Amino acid sequence: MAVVLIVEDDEDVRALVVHRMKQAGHEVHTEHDGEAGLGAARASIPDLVILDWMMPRRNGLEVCFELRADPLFAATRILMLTAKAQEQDIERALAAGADDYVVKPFSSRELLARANALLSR
Amino acid sequence: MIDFLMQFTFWVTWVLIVYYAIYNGVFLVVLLKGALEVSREVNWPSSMTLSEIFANPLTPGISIIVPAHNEESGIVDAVLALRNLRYPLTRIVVVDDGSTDETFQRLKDNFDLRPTSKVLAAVPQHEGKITELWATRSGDLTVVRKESVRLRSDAVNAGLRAADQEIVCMIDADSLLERDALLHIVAPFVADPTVLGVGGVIRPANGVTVSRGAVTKVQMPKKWVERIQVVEYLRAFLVGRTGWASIKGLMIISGAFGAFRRDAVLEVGGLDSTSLAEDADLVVAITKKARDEKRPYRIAFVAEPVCWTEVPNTFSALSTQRRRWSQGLGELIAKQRKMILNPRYGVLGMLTLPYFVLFEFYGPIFGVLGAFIALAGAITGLITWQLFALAFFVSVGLSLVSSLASVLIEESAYHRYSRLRDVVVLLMTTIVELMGFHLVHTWWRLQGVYRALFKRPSEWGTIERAGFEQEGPGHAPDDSPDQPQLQRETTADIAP
Amino acid sequence: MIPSIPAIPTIPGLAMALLLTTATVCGLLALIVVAERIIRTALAHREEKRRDRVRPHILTIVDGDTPATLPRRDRAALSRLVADTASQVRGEDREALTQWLIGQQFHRAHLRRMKSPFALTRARALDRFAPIAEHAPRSIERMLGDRDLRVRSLAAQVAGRSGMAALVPELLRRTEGTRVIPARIISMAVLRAAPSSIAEFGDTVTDSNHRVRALALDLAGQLNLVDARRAIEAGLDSPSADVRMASVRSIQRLGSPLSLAALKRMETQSPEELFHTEVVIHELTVG
Repeated sequence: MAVVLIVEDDEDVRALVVHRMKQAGHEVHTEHDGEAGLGAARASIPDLVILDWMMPRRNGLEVCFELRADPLFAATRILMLTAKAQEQDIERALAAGADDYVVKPFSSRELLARANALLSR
Repeated sequence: MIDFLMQFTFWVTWVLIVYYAIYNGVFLVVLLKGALEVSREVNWPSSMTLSEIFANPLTPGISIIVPAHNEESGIVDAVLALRNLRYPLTRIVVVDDGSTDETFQRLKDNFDLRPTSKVLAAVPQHEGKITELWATRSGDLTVVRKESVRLRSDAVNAGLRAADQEIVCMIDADSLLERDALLHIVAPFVADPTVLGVGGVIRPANGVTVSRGAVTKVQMPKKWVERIQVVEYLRAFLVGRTGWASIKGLMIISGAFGAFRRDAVLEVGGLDSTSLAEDADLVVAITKKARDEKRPYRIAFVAEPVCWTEVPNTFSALSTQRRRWSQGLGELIAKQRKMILNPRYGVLGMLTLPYFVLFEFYGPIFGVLGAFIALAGAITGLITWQLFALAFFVSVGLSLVSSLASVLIEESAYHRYSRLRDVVVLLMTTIVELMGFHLVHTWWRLQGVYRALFKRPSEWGTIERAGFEQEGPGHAPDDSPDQPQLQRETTADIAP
Repeated sequence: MIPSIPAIPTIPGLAMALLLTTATVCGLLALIVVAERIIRTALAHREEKRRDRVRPHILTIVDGDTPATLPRRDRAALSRLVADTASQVRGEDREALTQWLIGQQFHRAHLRRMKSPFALTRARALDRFAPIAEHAPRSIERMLGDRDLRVRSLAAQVAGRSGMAALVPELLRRTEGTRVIPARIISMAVLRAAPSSIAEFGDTVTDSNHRVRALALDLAGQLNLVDARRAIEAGLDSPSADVRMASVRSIQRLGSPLSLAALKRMETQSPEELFHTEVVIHELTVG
């Protein structure tokens, strides 16, 4: 069992991801914007953060940078979940410290598989 | 003598009644067209289109040109905010127009800029020499450093040379764009290959809460001078501009936020730096060129509010701005007088331009003289109170109806203001605007008319050019059927 | 004094009546604004609560189970929610959601509304229908020929978004003819539909209409369809400059040295064409 933080502003997507993660037996926390997501991350020190890119207040990329700059999160894995599908966007996300990248429309099973792969590293 | 005065007052009042009946009549018709257009736009399912534009590799790229002169406080946030917009391919071109502050240093500290030998296009012409060229490795941010000639248009023209995408978007460094603004403004280009330019709705940013370059909360501003402008912008943009565009008579795309096909702008040589009304000038020039060459073209307008910009927050700053708009309009009309009532130029020549000449430009003369004579006549008994009441109805009454209708359209279509309180304030403001502010405004516009007619040097020309301060008041954000905004240089006398 | 004019304002009470009417209209407008705000807030609040209530049922559907029977309004809200979610996911999740929607007869009303005389109604129905579009290719194909340009464009976007590769030939043919769709929208749709083989282009790669053929060949290159090489090379011999240039561009994109022979055989008919062809020949030779 791992602690997973999901930061996503779309409620439907969030509900689906939460559902899958809970089914897999993880402890799940959620937030709906970048700023609050950072706060929640500091409070729970998750093993995995699933981040939307386009969010109000702070975008996923900025959150990613912040998390990576903080030694507290050295062991935290980051997975970006976004509709941004251009090659250069994926490059930017990975350069910012994301460990994996899933493009919307997404498959929740694939997302779970990737999340578990990251967690078992 | 008394008999003559009676006759005179009587006829003046009648001229006034007819004049205002036509003016408000046309305005209400355009408003109605605009309302229909808005309701169609709002109800049309657009999220699919926007998300397809966002996700598609064939979406045309946008070069965003941001002229900046001494913008050290806001430039980094502005660039970050532009980078965060929902759009697949943006290339930002910041033109550092001879800044004497840290503008460039801030950019260099925050972004991975390095000198570049990128070849610039040869056109359009501009005066201020380009001294340095910097860009990020990925090329999504280019900084053009140039000598300033204290003209925004010159900076934009220099920026155009570095703009390499199919579409160019010109904005001010302090314009705040909504997250989907670029998707909205590009949609017409994608849907119709003959679209040459697209304007967007601009709203006063005063009262808006901003976080890291993005609008987070919208409330009515506190000061009346700002509130009044909110109502003016609503009426002018939401309905007036949309209305004009729907009958193919759009004349102005505001410099605070507008997009054009790059080749169309280059064909007319970029912005005309001699014009006080550079943004209206550009649209008129592009339209004229397309008409002259008998090419199909369209100037589109996106009714969705997408851009927020700061407006003057003192009456003295506002008065300067409005005098200048009025004068700029006069100069534009003089320059393009061949187009007026020329059937070759379609709705723009036959309807929009004459309307602007008769009602927007000369309007204040009728307003001041007419109101004075009618009121004096009614008080002294030279005309009957009934006649005066009729005059009052066609001028003030119909205006109030159109203002309130604008508020209604905003409220039912976009409802950007989050609290009920703001809506009530908005309603109250429409009355204050018409009953109090309108008179003052008319007086300012009259001064502009005087300057244009007697070819007085333009305000920013006579004053020692302090350069353009885009931060804060005095920076003119918009124009409108009511108050054509024509110029966005800030001048010494309105600098805070 | 002309007698007829003064007669108007002296109609007893006319001016007063006008002023009163204006005041009433203004008062009414203001009232409507406030009422509209209050009602909309209340409705939005209710819909939000309803959505929160039915959201858990989506998860049941995704897991392949049938959710408990709901009251009519809740069921409608759930349908909307499922449709929204379906466009965000793919694979099994999407399949489960769309199958449930079809089971709910979700498509019936929308298919009917897609025949409405009003463009706006057709467009909205099409938009709502999008999540299950791939199950009704014939309906989408019909909408590609809609009499309203914006509806046709929307249909193209739906086809692309739903990955309906079978509609690629129909999309391409809409470049020309009576009910055209802007070329850019067609290209975007075909690219999104992402056909995996040139076979899905049908006979558009040999179409007698130059614009259709040029667009098809161009897109085959942009999609990197390796099996399109022969069709693209055949375009080099076309009498149309558009088709020839499209072929040259696509050969460049595919980057296969196998095309060198065809390029060298090509008879260029303008200096520009010659230049482009030589550039590509050079690129392919150097590798």
